[in-house]
Amino acid sequence: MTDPDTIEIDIRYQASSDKKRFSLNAALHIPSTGVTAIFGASGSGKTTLLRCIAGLESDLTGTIKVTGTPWLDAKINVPNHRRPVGFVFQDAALFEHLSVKGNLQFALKRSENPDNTALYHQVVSLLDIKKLLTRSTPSLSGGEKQRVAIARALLIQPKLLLMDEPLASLGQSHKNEILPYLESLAEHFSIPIIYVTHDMQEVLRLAQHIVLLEDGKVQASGSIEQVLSTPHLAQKADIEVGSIVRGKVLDIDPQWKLASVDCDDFKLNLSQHGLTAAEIVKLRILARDVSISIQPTSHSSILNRVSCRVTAIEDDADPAMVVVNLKAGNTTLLSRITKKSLHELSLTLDQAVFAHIKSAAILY
Amino acid sequence: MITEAQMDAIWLTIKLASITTIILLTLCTPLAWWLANTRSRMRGVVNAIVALPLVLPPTVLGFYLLIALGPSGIIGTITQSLGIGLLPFTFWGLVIGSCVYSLPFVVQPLQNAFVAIGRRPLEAAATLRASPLDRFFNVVVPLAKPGFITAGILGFAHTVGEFGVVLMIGGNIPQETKVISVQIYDHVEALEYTQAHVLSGGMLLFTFLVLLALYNSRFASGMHLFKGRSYD
Repeated sequence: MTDPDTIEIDIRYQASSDKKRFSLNAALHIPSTGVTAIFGASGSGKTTLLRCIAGLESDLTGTIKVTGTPWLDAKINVPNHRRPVGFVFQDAALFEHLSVKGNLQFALKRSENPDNTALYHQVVSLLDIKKLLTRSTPSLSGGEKQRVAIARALLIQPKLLLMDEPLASLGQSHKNEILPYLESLAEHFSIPIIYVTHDMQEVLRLAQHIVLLEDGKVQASGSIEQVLSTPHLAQKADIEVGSIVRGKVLDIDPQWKLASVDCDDFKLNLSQHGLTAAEIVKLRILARDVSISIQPTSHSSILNRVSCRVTAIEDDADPAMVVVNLKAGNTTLLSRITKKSLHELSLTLDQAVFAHIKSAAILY
Repeated sequence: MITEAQMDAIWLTIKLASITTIILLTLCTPLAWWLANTRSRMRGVVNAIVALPLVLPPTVLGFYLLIALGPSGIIGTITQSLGIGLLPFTFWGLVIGSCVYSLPFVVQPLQNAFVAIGRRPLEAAATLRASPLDRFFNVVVPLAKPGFITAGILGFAHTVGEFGVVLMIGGNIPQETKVISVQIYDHVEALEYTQAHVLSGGMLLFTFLVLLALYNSRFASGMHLFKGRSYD
């Protein structure tokens, strides 16, 4: 069971304050690479879970083991300032008595390698905060504060980066300002990142893994593709069930403004949107945008027709609907249709059908 | 114009207020920190005790201090067994009295400042490998600087303005316990109104300037000297 390459968490937490009768009971494994999103509604315990990992909450028992090192068990409770985490708070939590540079140096000075000027310059340029260095922290905009906070968390040279809804307090334009930095962060630093959010767009854009949290309990965890394409799990997260497909843009048809995307097992024609040839894209195809036909009808407005097989038929939250799982080669597609259609088409397992894909959202 | 006796009183007052302020800032910092952060039920009790000198007549404070410092009092027994002797009617007796009398004026601004900082900067510092002491000296102290300045000024000014407690436990000994306020009282009793004017006018001006500086300082924004707030 013990895999040194994962982050193992098995904790029970009970809020000591009488006002909130909240408890968290979470057992999960988080991969030690990539971005894991902790997703759930407000009050589901996402932030508490993150704070427990960082050692910012007391009242908890259980075990926390990060890549083989115990941070918490029956005998050990590593104090918060000795845990090698970086923490980005929702409100940035910059030190107001220090300048931007002072905040960064506060972290660098206390890191394992305080003379790492190469890292300092790398972080400053990655987050594009060179111009802000001499500014006082209260004078920064929300987005700038958050970039400085992320830089500060990186300069402590953490083994695990914890981010607590870093975009939640920002407006949409500031979110769009920060998201590219978060993406390049995950690319440039091989630190596992645990990212708390209630925004599915952020999950889809940044994370490879997801943990669904509800009322202090883990409802599901796994890869994004797997969790979001499993109807009952997706419904728990209150998100549209759908599949995630990766592909490469083959070419752009200038006449019809369509991009042709090669998804290994099939090709899709998508609205060109700003896509360029040879670009790698991640697409989300919602089950409600996929219909099924037995015959390859060519008299349809839907351009994308994929030959596939029925692999499963699952119930939907709506009693009138079902979600049909389809497989085209190695790619899973989901189609949400009425039970009546299911009956009229008399679909059975392993039957060969055609999936008609009405649209696909480009994640990036 | 200022007599030698008056100079003695002024010097003694400054000495008393300075020593009291230094002692109080040292003792009240941990006390105010505890009050600002504890979840203990004792907090209410301690808060009330700290605030007592704000409302009690100085004579009541002075009376009990006199008993405590006296030959059969708790402090008196200790000072005697330590060979220090008895403290009433000595300068150091006044220092103890002043510390009690000015306690809330130092504790409360510090406590307000600590509460205003909140937990977040400390949590951020903890995730940046700062130990508890490191957090206190490099995050709390700089952020609470306005609180420390207010506490120091109020503690000093309030000790300068002390009269009742001094009279009860210090008496009227030149160069030992005769501070400005007692000197003024002496002048008035002896009908030396001109001398009383010199010292009283000086005190009035000094106190006004201190308060003016306090309210005008950039630290005073949003800060009130006496906050009638609960620390929840």
